[in-house]
Amino acid sequence: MTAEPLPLPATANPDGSFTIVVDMAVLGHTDAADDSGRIGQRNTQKYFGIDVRGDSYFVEGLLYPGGSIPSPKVPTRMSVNPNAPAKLNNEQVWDFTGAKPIGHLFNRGWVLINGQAEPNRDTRGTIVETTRTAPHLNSTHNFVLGMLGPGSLSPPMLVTAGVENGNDPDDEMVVRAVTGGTGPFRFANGQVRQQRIGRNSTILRTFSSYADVFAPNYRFIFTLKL
Amino acid sequence: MTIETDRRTLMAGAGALVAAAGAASSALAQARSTTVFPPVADWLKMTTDSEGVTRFAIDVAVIGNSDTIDPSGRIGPKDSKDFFNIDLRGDTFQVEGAVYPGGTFAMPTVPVAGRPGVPKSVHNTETWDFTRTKPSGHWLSRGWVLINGQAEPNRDKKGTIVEQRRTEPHLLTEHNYVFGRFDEGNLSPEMLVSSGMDDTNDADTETNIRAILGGTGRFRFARGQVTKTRIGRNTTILRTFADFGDAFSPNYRFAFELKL
Repeated sequence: MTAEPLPLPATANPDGSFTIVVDMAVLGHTDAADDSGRIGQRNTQKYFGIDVRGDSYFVEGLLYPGGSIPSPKVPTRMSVNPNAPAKLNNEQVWDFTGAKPIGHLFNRGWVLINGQAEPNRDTRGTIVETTRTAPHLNSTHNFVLGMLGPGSLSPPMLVTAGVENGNDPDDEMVVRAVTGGTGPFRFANGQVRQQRIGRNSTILRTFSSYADVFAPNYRFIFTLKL
Repeated sequence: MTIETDRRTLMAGAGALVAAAGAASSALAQARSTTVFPPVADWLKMTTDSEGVTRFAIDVAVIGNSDTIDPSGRIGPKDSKDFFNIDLRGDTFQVEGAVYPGGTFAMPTVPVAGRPGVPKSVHNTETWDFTRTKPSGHWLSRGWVLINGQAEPNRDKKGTIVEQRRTEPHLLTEHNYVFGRFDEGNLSPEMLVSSGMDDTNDADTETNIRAILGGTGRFRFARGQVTKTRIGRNTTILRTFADFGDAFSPNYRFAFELKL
């Protein structure tokens, strides 16, 4: 392990790796999607009925020490899919008043959803691809472990790559690759487990045609060799 | 077993084998088990310390003509060029630069006026005009804009302020540092890739530390970080700032710290 201090508590594991936990609340008003490269129909938010691939997006979140955001308790429905069962992780559990953020998450990438009912065929008529509505995104995350501001323009950072988001928030867990870092993480290898932890009080721009689609929160559990 | 060779050796070896009657299948077998290495960029002056950390630097002149920005995903008004007073997040861009050995550019010393409203900076000095030496490689940068210049803070559904104006750093990017010049016979020079943030409002104190994500050739197992600093401007003009008159492109020095 590096002799340099880490910006967050780390737990040593028997195999020489370390576990670091971070909570994150997505800032819904920063959710900036660009449908100009979309395969399917543009200017619609009915993402699960068209081929959305080609959309790029950028979104930010605020980081908190692991455990800051409370676990949801009340199954809740969403306006975006009112006929779906109520889910725990649709409950609004964070309103940004319970703790100060310790850093930023910068997330960008491309949409993976192909919701069109008709399968894609090759030139001979063979079906080569059918509807796939999960995972939703193929993304890169930069975890900036310090608040940006004058005199703080390069806090320690971790970078991950992978896919994210499923259709059942109560059964959604993805594992992503740690691709690099800076400061005490500059030689890091490892992976991160990403799981849902309710919603917060900001509203996602990409679902603006539905009522109050609150932005999700996540817990990230890093396993790192430094 | 993996056989290490460069591309030229592999092609010569494969050609001889294919020419030998009955040997085509073994040539294919060799090709499948051979790792192809790009030519070594011997102009990189690398040093390795006792802890196995390798260091070297390169200089990069941004080519302003290649600066392409796409505001189609922007949160703020898409047709505005008032970049520091609107929310630019959602903009994507791509830009290229010319790579030179570290130390090629002279460090400027005299403060010069730049963008209106921003203090004079030594790094507004034009330190490179592309005539003194040929570039040794390419720098490819692309990503998203991070500037939120809108004065009004962002609030959640309950009215709580969740975010204030933030005008630096400017960019969230990935860089490919290509340590050779592209041509028809050299499409994959040695390379490093980094991720991080770029550019601030004070060029004289600007330092960005970026994560190394990977590489090729000698850098194929690389981990580490790269420190990016400003080193004046060059004679090309940034397309993004074309309306502001002679917005000369910046130069950078990248100091790599790697475990290979």
